[in-house]
Amino acid sequence: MSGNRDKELLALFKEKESRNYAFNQIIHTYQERLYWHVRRIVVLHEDADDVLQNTFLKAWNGLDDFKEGSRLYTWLYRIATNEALSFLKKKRKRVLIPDHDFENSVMNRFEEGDYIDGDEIQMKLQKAICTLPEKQRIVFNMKYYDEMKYEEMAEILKTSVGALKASFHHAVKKIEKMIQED
Amino acid sequence: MIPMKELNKIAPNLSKIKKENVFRVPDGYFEEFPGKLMERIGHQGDRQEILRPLQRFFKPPLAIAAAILVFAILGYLSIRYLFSDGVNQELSPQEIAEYIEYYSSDLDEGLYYEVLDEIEVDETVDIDYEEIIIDYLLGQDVDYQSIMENL
Repeated sequence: MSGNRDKELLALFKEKESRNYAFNQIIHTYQERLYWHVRRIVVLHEDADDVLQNTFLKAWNGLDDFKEGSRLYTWLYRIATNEALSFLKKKRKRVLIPDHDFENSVMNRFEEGDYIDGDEIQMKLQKAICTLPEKQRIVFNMKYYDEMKYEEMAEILKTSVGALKASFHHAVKKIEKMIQED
Repeated sequence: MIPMKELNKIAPNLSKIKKENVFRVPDGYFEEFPGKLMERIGHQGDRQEILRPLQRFFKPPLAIAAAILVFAILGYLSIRYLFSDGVNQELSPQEIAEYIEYYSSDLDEGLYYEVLDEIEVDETVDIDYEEIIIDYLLGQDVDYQSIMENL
């Protein structure tokens, strides 16, 4: 979506009569991209649905304070990422999974989840991705699947481009090794 | 986008795998999602219409109260620091409990279980559970007559 269209929608959102229309347009524009981003983090559809709803609810409540200097897309992405991460954190605490076992639990979600379908090599790749540490997994998915620029990722994840490049490089190396081993 | 050349160099096997989305969604999910969400927002809006005037009314006094509280705590801590020797102060059980509660999210659960495993249980202590249960039941207002009749 162009920056101009975002500006238009933000202006419409500020007016009481067009608020709902503007937000509906924002949802239509960004829901799919945000859904896939969240889904790759939480794996299960039901969880991704919860997280996506919470993301847009937060956006609805915070859009009045949104600084127009930043981009709506990266702002929404940041909310979605934080929501997904805190969702997993809560879930981990609720079922008392120690941090070091968490990668296994993500893999379990992958094996047990509905609405997942891929051939053998795709499943092997997904399992390899599941073994990555949480942050590295997010960086890998954002770069590999969402094809984001490092600069955008840095804005969303509040980190440096250098750190992201290193993180992606490590992730790729690990995945490559796992694919080779099998 | 990652240049294929670069990916080919560092991960030849990965670069051979076709980039596919293995996740699926239920039929009509994206068509229904905006409506479902706007409905939720509508409910939330109704609630906020009621809460907003209350928030507006209580917000300034709450901010002032919070500021006073922060100053009071800072003052108390400064005085305590100035008049204490700062060495080996005993912590009350309540302070320890508060500390644990505050930092519980950072606790290493593995370490916690290890410590639990190391604690030796004194199995020589003989607790008369039967007596405790009877005492408890006697303390309750139980209708024994009806229990006996139902047995």
